[in-house]
Amino acid sequence: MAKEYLGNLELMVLLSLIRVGDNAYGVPISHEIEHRTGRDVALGSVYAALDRLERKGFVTSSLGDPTPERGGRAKRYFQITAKGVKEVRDAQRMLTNMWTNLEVLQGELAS
Amino acid sequence: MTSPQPPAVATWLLARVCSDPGLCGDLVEEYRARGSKAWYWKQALVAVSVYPFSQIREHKWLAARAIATGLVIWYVFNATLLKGVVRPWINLDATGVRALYFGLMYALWLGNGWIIAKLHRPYSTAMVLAYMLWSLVASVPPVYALVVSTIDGSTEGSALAWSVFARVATLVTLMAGGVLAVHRDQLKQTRTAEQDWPRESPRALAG
Repeated sequence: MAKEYLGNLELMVLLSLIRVGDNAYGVPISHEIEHRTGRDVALGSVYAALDRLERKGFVTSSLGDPTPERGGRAKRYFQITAKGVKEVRDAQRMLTNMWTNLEVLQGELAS
Repeated sequence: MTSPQPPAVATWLLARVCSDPGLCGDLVEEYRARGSKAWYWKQALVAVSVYPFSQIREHKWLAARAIATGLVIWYVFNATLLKGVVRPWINLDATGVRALYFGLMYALWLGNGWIIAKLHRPYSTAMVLAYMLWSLVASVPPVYALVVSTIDGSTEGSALAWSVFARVATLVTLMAGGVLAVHRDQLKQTRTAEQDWPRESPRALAG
């Protein structure tokens, strides 16, 4: 089977998931992305990315108890798997290699 | 003080199309923190447009099965029974018979959406959408041919308008069938949860 690579949003979601740690669910994950990147991401897009990541085996999810504050709906908690952590490391290594010795970008940084 | 309730129509739409308690609950939680109806509507519209397409992409084989199911139902009921068996026996010029015929046809489309939704849980709405998209693509050649014949004058414009209207009505009826099936499933789940609650509640146990 062909290796599935991470998309931009998927990588951001995985990194946010690692940052939030235990009890990570949609709201803190999207807040973390907004806080770190300044981008306003829709919760629907975050959930679509999390579903893709779950299918690829990079995260697992479990449902908590329904609460009145959420209109009687449960929280869906997400955890990153060992395969997910490895994928993030691979992405970091690949991107770092791509960034290394790029004169154009170094010039921009210098100016 | 009671917590503000999010817009009911947007919540209804979310519950039928997304059916993920995590996402629906997160949106309610965020709405209560922000208090903006415009924000909630925007999030709901993004979710109902992104989520089902994402599910179709993630479950391609299931989408293919949904399309095949829809085609089989269409072929057996609409193409063979209705058009092949019923239509030759009736006079469509009579208004009452015509209304009955089209009523039956749209009831079959409603049933088609219902069956696809029932057979493809928990991705019901997304799978009905997959068949809708296929139907939309399949409609392009006949509608294009009608547009061309209307332009060259061999067909009246009303035939084109009727064809487009009938096809849009078909797609809407299909989705309505799917949404009704999801709605009924959710009502069943709510009833089951209500029946289980007294047995598990401390008050019931104390009694």
